[in-house]
Amino acid sequence: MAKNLIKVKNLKRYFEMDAGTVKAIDDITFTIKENEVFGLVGESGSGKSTTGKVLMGIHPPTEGEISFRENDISTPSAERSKAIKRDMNMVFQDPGGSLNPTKTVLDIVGLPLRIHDMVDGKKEMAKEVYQLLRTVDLDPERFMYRRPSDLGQGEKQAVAIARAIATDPSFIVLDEPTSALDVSIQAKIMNILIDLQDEYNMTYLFITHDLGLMRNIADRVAIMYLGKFFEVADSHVFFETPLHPYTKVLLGSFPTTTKEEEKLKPNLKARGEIPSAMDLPSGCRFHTRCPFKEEQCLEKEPDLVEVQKDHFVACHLVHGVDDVDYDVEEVEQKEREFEYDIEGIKMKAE
Amino acid sequence: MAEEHNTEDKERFEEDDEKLEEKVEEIFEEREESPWKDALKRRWYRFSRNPLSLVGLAITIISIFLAVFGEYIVPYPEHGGYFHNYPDRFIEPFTNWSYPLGTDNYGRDVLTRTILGFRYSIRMAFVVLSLVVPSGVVVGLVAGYHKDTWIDTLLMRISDIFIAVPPLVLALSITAMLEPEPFYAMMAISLMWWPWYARIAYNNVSSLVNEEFVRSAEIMGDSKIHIMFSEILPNCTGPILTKMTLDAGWVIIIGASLSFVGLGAQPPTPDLGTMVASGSDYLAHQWWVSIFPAMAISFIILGFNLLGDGIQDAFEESGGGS
Amino acid sequence: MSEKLLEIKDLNVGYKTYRGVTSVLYDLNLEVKRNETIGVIGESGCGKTTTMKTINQILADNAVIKSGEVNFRGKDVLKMKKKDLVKLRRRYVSMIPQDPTASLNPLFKVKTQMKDILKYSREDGEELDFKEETIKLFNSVALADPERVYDSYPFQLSGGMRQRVCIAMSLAAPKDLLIADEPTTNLDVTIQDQVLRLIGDILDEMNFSAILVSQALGLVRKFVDRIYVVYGGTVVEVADTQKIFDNPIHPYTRGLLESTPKLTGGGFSEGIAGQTPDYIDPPPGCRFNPRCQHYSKDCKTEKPEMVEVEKDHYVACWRQ
Repeated sequence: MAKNLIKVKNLKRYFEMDAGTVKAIDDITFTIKENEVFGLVGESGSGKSTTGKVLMGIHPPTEGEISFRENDISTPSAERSKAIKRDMNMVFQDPGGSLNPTKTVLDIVGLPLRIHDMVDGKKEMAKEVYQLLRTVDLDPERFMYRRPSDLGQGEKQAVAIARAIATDPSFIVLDEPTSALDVSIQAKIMNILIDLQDEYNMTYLFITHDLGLMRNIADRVAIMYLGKFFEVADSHVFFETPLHPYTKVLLGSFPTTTKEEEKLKPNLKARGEIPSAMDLPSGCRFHTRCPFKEEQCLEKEPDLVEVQKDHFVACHLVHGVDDVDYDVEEVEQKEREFEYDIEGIKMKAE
Repeated sequence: MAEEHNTEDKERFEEDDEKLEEKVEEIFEEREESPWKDALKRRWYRFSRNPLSLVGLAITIISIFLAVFGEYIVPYPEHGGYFHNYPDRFIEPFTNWSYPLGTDNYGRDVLTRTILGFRYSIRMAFVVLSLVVPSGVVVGLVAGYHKDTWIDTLLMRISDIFIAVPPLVLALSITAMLEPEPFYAMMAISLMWWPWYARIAYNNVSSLVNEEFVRSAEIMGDSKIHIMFSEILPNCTGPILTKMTLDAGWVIIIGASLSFVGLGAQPPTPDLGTMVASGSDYLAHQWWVSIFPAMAISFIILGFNLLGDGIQDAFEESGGGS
Repeated sequence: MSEKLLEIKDLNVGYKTYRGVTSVLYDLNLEVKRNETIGVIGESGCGKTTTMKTINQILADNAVIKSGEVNFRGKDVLKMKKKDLVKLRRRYVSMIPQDPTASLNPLFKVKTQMKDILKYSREDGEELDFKEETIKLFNSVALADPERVYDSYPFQLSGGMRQRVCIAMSLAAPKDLLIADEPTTNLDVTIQDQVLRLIGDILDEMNFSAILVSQALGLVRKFVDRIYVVYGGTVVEVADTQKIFDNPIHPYTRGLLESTPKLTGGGFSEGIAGQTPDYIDPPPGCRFNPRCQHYSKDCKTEKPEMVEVEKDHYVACWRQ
């Protein structure tokens, strides 16, 4: 039985702004097992990026506990021990922003080695960096002394990954690591990440909005909406038998390229706008966009309930795998709610 | 278990360890070339697009050259001090090959003294900036990195106090209080100049503090000092360098102004401001005694200004890094 | 037989940089018929935005149009005088931009910006009741609460709403050609889907032509009649939509499709080796050859010609 590497309990992270309080993370609880790839999926405002940042200590929790290998890490990174900082690292979304434009690749990847006294002098650092660059498929001879501005997006991200694994950490947070990359480069980077995870026995928290990506990397997936978990399940359960309406809507919006994918897609479309995190809807925060909303959804927030082994859902209408109170076909047949006036723009063409 | 894997890898690589050493040596040698060259090329391209910047560069180089080597190339080095040659006083410029720019009231060659004057002006800019830039930038750096904490408030409020006083007034009061000497003049100017660098560094740093590469260094455990000086500072060089260049001109003018009112270098020192002052009595008929030193001041400042503009262009898109 | 609305012939465009003049678009050929929607697919740096900007002549100052023709309704845009270009942009071609935030002036309310557009793009521009017309347009782009949007500043609206305002702007007057340059890239997936469906519905109802530009094949699949796949500044494959997905021929098109992670699983492909060409010194012959698994001798010397591999399906590759 694999151990629990990360434990998160009732985590909350609020941001106080002049205009109000943003409840970025609003009470989530989960664990990540060793050697697992835990996926966090959601749209903007969901709180998924913030979760990664809180785990890394970029923001301290407002409430709740997080622990890493039974060590409490509910603190900002400055207060954590060096040993823990050596064992956890992060890959950021924007390849350009995460690399210091005035430094060479050698300095960038070598920085963590220097911080943790893992090398003795420039030469030894160069040797280590040389090997690290090889593991991310970058030719060290070409790249060691380059600056970030000379690198393509994919190469920058590969450098960021080399830096992230330099100290041989056991846990890495990957926050949308391929969102800024072209599809063809994305595939390469994802392969590198998968190989590395295997070879170095690492645990990943993989954050993305792209369900296609998630399907192919995560072992377990949690979907977040405005700071809460709506569904948590093992990957194949999540994608083949999703239960939460939001999960279905998100899957239904995914742009597919093959007929097989079409069959897997629930025929459920999104409606309305994503509410602001400062002004949350009452009751279930999804009710403003949910095709199945009922009275109770406006009044009470649903709890995250285990409806099946290791499958958690937060919805009033979901009681079990074959026990849901909504009917997808019924909604499919209804006309689209926003009937808009095409006549308004029909004009005589010249 | 992760450690085990590491040793396995180490074993695999140790076989080629010698090959590895060779490869790394090779790369070490190539090092000086590519990244520097390309960045320099890019900077130079942007700098040289405006021909005026090149003019500025030329003028600055000439000024510095004259400042350093002036005393070795002037026709009458002895005219730079106590000297008089009354028969030759007030010779008009452009009339006599021996004194191309004419002579002053003591019969001293204006061309010689003007060239010698470069040294004092450039030296003032150099001394003041060497004091002011490091101190100001460090203050701004520390304050900016600790934005919104007591450190920030303390440091920036102190710098605000100094900024609030008009520079010339402060310099005048200080030198008037102490002795009128170039040294005190430089100290006075330095005292109210440093906050500007604190401010510019502060603005740069506080916007960089939220960049992901800084966050990355923090979560990996880098020390604050190292982050401030090694990660953030190199990214601020653009605006600081630009300001330094433009400031050189300002410092020189203020220094010359102090000398003009008698609070800087005293006669017979061939300081340009002092020369303008001593020549002002004769402005009506022997205009050249004041005008040529004044033109020299303008020349130097023009050079620095154009150069500063060019540097700003050069660093524009690259965000200030090297 | 549908006539050609837009015909781009052998277009060559580059940019002046500190390293020299780049050669981005390389003998690019493209056509749009009346009442047809085409998709232009390519990854970043392939030249698709440059192409769109050439149609409207809104290229940057350092752009160099080396050769070629861009015939819109029979007239070459590249040779048009300023007066005709202005008319082109007001009356015939409209563009939905990639970043709605950058395209809306943050200092003016939406109503002021809509008024501007209506005034100049409609023939009866001066006599309109701007508010009424604007509300009508907003209704047709499914903006809930159009009155509120009318009176708001752009920063008060969400990304999806801003994009819908931009779409409304592009529909303010009947146009012949609508260019949508990655209109949903900065939007959330669920909003992206809504906006694309809206654009699709509008295209269905109206009888104008459109060019939908995107990086992802999946996004345009349901909305376009034909797809052009662009790489390295030139078209590598063009066919009716379904044929591209059922029978992709060009190695780049196949690479793209394989690299897209599938909802059904299957892991990740190898991706496409190499990177986008350096336009200062692009590879000779077929620009894809450094990344191609199957190259032959000709690939490195001659630019491949377009070959018809099946009806209405053309590929530019020497291996056919």
